[in-house]
Amino acid sequence: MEFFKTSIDWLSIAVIPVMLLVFLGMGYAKKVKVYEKFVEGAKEGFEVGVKIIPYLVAMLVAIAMFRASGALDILTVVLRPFTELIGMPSEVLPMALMRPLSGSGSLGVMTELMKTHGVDSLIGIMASTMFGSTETTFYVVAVYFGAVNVQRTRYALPAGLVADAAGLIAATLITRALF
Amino acid sequence: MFRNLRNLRNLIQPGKKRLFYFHKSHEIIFRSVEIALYFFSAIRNLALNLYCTLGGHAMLNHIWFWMIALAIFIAAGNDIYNEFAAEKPAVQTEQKRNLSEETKLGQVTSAALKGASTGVEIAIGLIGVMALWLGVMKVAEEAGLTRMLARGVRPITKRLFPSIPTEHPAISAMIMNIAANMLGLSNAATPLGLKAMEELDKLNPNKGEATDDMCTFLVINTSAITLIPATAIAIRSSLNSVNPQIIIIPSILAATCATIVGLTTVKLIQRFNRKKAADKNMPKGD
Repeated sequence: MEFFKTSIDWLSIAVIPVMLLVFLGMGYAKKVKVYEKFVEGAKEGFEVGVKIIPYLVAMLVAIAMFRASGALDILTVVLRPFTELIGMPSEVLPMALMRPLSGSGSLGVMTELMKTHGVDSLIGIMASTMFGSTETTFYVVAVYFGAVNVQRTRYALPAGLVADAAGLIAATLITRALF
Repeated sequence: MFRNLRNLRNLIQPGKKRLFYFHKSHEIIFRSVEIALYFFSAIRNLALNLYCTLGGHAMLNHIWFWMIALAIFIAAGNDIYNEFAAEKPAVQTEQKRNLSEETKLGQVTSAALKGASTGVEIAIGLIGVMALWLGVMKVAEEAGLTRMLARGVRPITKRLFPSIPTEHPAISAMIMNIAANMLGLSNAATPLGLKAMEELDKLNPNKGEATDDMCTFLVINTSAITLIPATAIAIRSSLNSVNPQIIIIPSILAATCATIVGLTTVKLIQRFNRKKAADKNMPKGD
């Protein structure tokens, strides 16, 4: 485990410089005008950033309002009987609900849970596994589809949420079984 | 379906003595599998019909609106409850109340404004890394590297994204995005993912609407398997955990489950849509 982690750590430090070197080096070797082509590509960066803005604003406003209103507390009460069936402690439920909505929000919830219940308690491990195994789906949908001006996202969000639910349930069951 | 129902009836009717006299023992297994399949397809159809009544392809409109509307209703309800029904401390201070901070409605208002400016900040913050990676990808494309990469991963991508041409630049961008996500390089992952979306959009026949491939890619992305969940580990060790890395294996397992379930969902919906379009003998749409 320790070896696995250090090797992955080294890999993740080395991969970007190596990638830059290989990509630019291959281009240079094939007599591509590297500087000119780089600038040509980089020009799009600004456009993409600006394109995302309306989508991100729409999504983040809705999420921020939803969080501030205390709707999550009500959802927690409603969902608690169901999640207790699969053995998810009710303390962890806010974490599970927050995770697809907001990265910084769920980070806060996770830290709070580990502080109050102990880092190495079942609740602490379960919360951090949930944080590590899923993404903020709403944010990803807004940014990725915003970049290509897609408003009709079809089934992307529900399918992403189904995947999140599966990941959260799996995290609960796996940590229950292991710890 | 009717065949399944008949089998069910055969099992239940004692007159035919099906339930008690199985001539071949494997028939029990066949029948139970058939019943299970029947229930599975019933549940699947129920879920897909529910999805259609919930707005189908225009679902985000409903979700977005109800998130805002519910937020306002719930905040107002909370405030009304606190104002009239909740017990108040006996000693009333004569201080002037700061309603915009004290009430839920006030908090919702400031959260909305703050959310709007956060959206702009994030987008602007992305521009720098975006430019860097788009520039590098442009050089890689000119050098023919992206085509090589796409050819290498063809066996996997052929199944997941059947409608994308083999050597299309979308493939290599998606693979690099997934690899960056696995290594936890979120700074590189987002620009590469957006590049992939751009390439996927070039194959999009009706702009403004997501294609099946986009949805598949997005689901892989949101259930991203990360080999090292670096943020969670960092926080665990800052809180003096005995073993901060203990979550690595559970995280990978849980994320794998999420990816498998997500991909299955996406493929089921795609098959359902194709069937529906074929039934009506008209092109797929809302």
